[in-house]
Amino acid sequence: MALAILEKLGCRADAVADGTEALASLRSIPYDLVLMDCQMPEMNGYEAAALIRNPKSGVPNPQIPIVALTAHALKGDREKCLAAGMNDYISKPVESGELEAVLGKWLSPEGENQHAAPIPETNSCRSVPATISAAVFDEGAFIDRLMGDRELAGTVVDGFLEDMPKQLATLEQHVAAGEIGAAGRQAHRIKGAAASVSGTVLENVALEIDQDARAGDLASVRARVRELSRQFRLTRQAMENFRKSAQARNRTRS
Amino acid sequence: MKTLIVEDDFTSRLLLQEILRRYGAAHVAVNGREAVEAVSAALAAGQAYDLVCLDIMMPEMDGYEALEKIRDIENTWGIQPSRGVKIFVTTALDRVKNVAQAFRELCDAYLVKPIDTATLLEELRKFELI
Repeated sequence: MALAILEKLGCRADAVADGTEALASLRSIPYDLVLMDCQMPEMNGYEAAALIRNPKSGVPNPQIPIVALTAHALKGDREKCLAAGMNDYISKPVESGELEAVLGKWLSPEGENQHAAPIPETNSCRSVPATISAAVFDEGAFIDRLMGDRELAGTVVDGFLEDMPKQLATLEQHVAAGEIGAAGRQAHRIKGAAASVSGTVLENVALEIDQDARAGDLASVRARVRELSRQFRLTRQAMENFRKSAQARNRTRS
Repeated sequence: MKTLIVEDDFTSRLLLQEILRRYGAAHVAVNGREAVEAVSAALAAGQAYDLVCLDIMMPEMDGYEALEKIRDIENTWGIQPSRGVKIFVTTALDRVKNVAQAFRELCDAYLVKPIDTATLLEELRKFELI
């Protein structure tokens, strides 16, 4: 969503999956601004911001403007973002006008911000932000949990992608038959599978189905099962991209 | 090291199997009933398991019942409780506390799911399984 708006505004933007990737990108490419999701698993936005601000992080411009993206419209959130070293924050879902305003504020050399580093004059586009969003597939966390073993990660992801359509079909059958207890247990199993491969969004939706099933709320289970299928398609897409890039890496090596 | 992985979810099972098969045979069972049968057959064949990774929430026979049955079977073979198979109970983070209370006497360690390779290897070393 944020990417689409940025494109419309004429900005070049790269999306990364987590804080670790964000740091790696910031070290190698001179960005002008970071849009930071605060609800990332493993390393959250606050921690990532603190790392970017650390002079030892290896980021050429540790004072780069960081704008938080947060789902909570809570009052204390703004303070929490600022305390973590971020410059500003906007709430999700991202709206075009709000994003444009905040970019104008932090990217203009005449902006009120005195801490932001000067924007290179050669950069006519003004902004090349890195955006970070909570990943349907948290690749970084997954690989870390497997001690960096990408081959193992690939094997388990392939197994998950083969198995999950069957598990989803079973869940749908239980729901269609009104078997709420069986649906809850099946959702619990799907939650375990998604957690195993750091399919964070899928895991959360499955957990909600399990909870709704325990509460006996079949209508809510039905609605969430449709959401689960949709999220699985997005998860599969992200995982297939991961597999393709792994294969490309292997080809380069051999 | 000979391992039996007892887990009803395919992906969680695959992850454990792929890690553990590097250290020896890694068999799988999808519920408690299969697990008890496998442990029993292995003892009868004189090829006892060194490690059982046991999920708690499973259909047919849950992990708790399987755990008790496995220790009973060992008892009939005259195996001292301290000399029995090492059993690592696997459970989701939100249940660790309940599980830890219920299983204290019967199992050797708890592994929080999703499985973290480093933590698993640490436990294996602690029990001198690798």
